[in-house]
Amino acid sequence: MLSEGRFLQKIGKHCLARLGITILLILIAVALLAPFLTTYQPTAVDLYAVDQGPSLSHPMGTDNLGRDILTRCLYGGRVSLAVGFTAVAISLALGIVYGTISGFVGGWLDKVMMGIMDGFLALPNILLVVAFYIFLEPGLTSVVLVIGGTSWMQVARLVRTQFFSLKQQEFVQAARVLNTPGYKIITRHLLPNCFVPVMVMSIINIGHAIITESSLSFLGLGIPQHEPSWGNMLMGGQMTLLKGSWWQTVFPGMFIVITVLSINFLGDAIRDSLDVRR
Amino acid sequence: MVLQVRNLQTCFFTPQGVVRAVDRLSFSLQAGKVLGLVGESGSGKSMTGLSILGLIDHPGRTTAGEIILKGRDLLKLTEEERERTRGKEVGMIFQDPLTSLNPVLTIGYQITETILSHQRISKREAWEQGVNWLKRLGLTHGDRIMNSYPFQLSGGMRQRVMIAAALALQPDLLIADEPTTALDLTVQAQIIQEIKRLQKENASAIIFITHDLGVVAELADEIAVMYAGSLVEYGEIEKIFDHPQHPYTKALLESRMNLGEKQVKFIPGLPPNLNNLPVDQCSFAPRCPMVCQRCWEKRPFLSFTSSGQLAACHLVEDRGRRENSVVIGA
Amino acid sequence: MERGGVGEKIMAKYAFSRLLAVIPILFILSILAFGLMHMAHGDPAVAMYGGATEKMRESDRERIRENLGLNQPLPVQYCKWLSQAVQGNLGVSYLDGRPVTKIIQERIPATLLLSFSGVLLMVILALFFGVISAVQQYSFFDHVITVISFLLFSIPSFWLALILILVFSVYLGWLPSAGINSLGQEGNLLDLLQHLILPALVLAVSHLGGYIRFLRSSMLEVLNQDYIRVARARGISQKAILYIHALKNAILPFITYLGLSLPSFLAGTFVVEVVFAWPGMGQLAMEAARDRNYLVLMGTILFSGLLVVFCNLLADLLCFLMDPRIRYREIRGHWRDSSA
Repeated sequence: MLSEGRFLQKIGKHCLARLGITILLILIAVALLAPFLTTYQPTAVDLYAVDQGPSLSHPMGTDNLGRDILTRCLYGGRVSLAVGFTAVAISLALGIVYGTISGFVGGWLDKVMMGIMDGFLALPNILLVVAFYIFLEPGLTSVVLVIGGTSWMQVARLVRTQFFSLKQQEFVQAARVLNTPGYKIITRHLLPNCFVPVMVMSIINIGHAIITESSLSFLGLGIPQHEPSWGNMLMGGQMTLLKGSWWQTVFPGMFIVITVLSINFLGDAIRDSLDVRR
Repeated sequence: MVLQVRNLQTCFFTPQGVVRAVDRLSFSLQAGKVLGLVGESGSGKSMTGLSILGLIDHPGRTTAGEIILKGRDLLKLTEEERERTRGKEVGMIFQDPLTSLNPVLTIGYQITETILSHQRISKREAWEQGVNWLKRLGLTHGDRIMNSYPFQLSGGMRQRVMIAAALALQPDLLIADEPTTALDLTVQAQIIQEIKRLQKENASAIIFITHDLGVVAELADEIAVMYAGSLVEYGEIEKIFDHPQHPYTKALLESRMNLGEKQVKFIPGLPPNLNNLPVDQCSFAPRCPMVCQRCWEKRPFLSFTSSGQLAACHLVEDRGRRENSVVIGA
Repeated sequence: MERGGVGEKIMAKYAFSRLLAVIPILFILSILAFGLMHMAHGDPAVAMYGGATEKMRESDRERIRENLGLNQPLPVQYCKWLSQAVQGNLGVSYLDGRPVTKIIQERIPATLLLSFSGVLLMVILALFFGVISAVQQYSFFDHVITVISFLLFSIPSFWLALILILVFSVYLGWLPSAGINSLGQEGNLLDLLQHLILPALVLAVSHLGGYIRFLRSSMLEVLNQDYIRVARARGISQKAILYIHALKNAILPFITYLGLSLPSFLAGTFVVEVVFAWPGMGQLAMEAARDRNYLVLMGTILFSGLLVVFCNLLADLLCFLMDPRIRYREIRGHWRDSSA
């Protein structure tokens, strides 16, 4: 019966969530333990083993400088995950501050702040990222700063909207009547109630940040190719694609997909489970 | 005899258990008569209407019984055939006129579409018919209304539009599911008048579903009282109002407010949780003021009373047996 | 009932009011673009001459600054720049001396072609899968589509492009892997289509995930409404219910959602352009970024913003035309009716 279908879907989602967490944890562990898992160095050039397909000694093949792809994928995981988490942390901080001010004060300040934000939002994300990036020294910190600095808008809007709707509710008005100082209202009443949707959004944003970082690196504007990142490995992959060296493209990309997919499962599962209870 | 319902059973299969929304319901209806289907919310009256129309969606399903409309058992038809009976042979008016009309389609579209899906006539003719029906329901600016959208009309007008759309195909059976509950009292009275008038003109059979006994008193010839999905009392309206047999019906009638009374009489307790309702007891037992040991052990069947009503109660059964009346098994 | 002059007037008024609402955003966009230019390593002269300034002497740079009036206060500079920009003068690319506006205008058609094809393809696919998914809720098909949507959500568009190039160009050799047309085939429509298929497909598919889920939930919400059940009770056919009654309602929030996610769609277009060497605005922007051609980059930012804003306006207008409730808000008072 169809009700079983729905039931199965719920269970299925739980499984996916658990799968997502498991894969994510494995990836993080692997990334952290990378030096212990492979014998190669990620930057070790071996001109005798250039552009080799997958083999026993190089399970994922080598790139155009003979570097082992599996190793670079594992080390690249460090970069991508680090960028993802840090950038989202930055965007979270920025977004919450911006959204709090706009949402709490309201009035014309809110209109102005939202207007400015809409201006930012009207631009294609990648363009904004690139535009900010070229003014900084290329490198890991710049990438993190730029991604963090261009993805705070969604969080800000969410916080601001939540503030607006929460301000109408009675417990906030009660707090106001009791002359609770502003910062207390914010920290004790308003912000905690935003916690769930903001958290769900942030988790999904980690996936977006990872994809943005790989896009940047792919375009040659992110992490320089010496240090591996999944994105710049794909840049190398594109150059050898027409020769048929599929392993340089397929493997790093699969890492990205699996990582982001598990993050998305996780985020969706959290949103579902917390939604129902509310 | 327009409609004969025998042992109709509609169940909902949820992860928490089986809900028997309509539990072995039987009644019949003749042309030109109005049957008032009465009960609290959750008693299964709306579900009865939807079952007759075949609009029960998952996780629900009509699991047993017969719905014989003009000699044909609707439950034995294919979905396509069923679709053809909807609107043409059985019409339904719903409760909330605001949400019952599609907000982005004009009234004219919604009415003519109904007419055109069952009759092969031109759009122009369908339009004319639509305007005429609106006129018959007291809406004189037919053309303007046909060109409007639902949100441009008031609640009373919307309900009249709904009734017009339902009657436009002149169905043999009309099911009205609380058509006046969402309206103001004055509009309510008007709509009831309209329904009365049209019913006399068309001689259609109507099932009027409501929880408002006052409305039922005005319109219905017969009344069927439902509780927890099953029929507890059934018969002519004057007889039941004068001599209610089932404790639930008695309590319902008593709980109507009369002018001058200081206290509201209500039925203690809450409507039962329909989930996994026990089969072998009377469903009203937890709240019945005349409950006895047998009510907890055995389910009462519908039995005739001396006055010609049907009631499902052990006390009525006893009385009936003493008077040698017939007991109808379910 | 908006026939005759009243209807047109209302629509024009609405379009105009939306246009007015857009001006603040354009204003902010211009400030953004201007600000970016002036951020160039703190030296505006660098912005004008991009990578070439590294080779200049300090005296030359000073001279440039003097000539361009860069020693004047910022607001003055902004106004000067804005007045020029509104007339279409966005400066000159330091690489080849051609006006920025002209360079960009040459690239716009390619971008429009690609993004339009991508959107069209995506909308068709989303409608197809989203509607079926909603109608067959909880079925096997629905589950499969949900999982695939998640998957699509997680795939970077450029990787998908590379994989498709691998399959269709390198291994199968069916489709070209780059450019907008083959040498000497400029007017050939078939050739153009061949080049268009892969990039448009990548664009459509990589954004599909979110749209399918949105349309699915929108349709589900509509299908659970009372008026759908009422329509069924009148014997309206399943098909008519789906495609007229339900879809007409479900598509309105979908259009709004589409409008809101246009910037990300355009961003996707830009990335796809780079992978496929598609001669559009996105490829131009990335090249400009690499060459530190700030003026061109700034120009692309402006034009992109304009494009997005314009498309949002179109989406608004489309909603206005399709949703009678919005129209009614605008003509309030005309049809106020009292109870009959």
